[in-house]
Amino acid sequence: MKAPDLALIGFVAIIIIILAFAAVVLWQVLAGTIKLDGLIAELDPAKPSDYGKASLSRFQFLLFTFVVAGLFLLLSIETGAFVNVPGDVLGLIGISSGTFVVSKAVSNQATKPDQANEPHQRKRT
Amino acid sequence: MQQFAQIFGYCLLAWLFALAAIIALRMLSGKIPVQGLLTTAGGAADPERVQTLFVTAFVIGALIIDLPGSVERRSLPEIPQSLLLLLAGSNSLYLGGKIARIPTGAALFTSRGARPQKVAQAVIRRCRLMV
Repeated sequence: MKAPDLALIGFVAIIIIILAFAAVVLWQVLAGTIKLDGLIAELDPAKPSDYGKASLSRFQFLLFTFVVAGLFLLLSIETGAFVNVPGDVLGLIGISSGTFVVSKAVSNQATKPDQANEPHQRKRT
Repeated sequence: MQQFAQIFGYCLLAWLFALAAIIALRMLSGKIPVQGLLTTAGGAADPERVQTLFVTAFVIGALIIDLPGSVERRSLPEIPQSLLLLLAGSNSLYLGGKIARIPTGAALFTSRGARPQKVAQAVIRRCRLMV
């Protein structure tokens, strides 16, 4: 067997494995095993088992991820090679993910301010 | 091999679209909760959220409009610096509004768990180290 044939077989095998993973994930999402309920919502502090308000930062991060990933794939297929990712697009993702992280930190902190204040109150007394 | 790569790319693109379609359908059917996306915790409309959503849609529109030129450039669409600044400002406004609107906002700034000044100092220190 020649080296190019081996490379082709290896390439096809890798493609099949990755597509199988992708198909399994999609199937599990459709079947409900992988739950997407809390994809853009945050847990309700009053009822920890329930999802509360939807988070705009999560939604924005989701939108940008899908748009940038979709455009990257589309352009890569169109041009036949990996396309360049400008710094502006990385900045866009960075701003969005940074907002998501800060928003999550604020939400988490806001749910338990009393616990966080306890040490100060103890010191005063 | 080029043909296989192209088929693989199309399959991945189809997977991405399928995932996006599932998410969109579940949001429409209410299985993925979207209530409160544009309102405050009290249920009132939140202007910061509305403007952030508009700016997000605007940025996505700008990305897609520049798509034909990007094929020739072999690069993802370029975003003007002004648009990035707009997005950063919009998101800052959203976060500022979120912090200001939480009922125990004062506690957030005085609690032991979150000291914005210390966090900011740590970030600046790390940035200086990186430079």
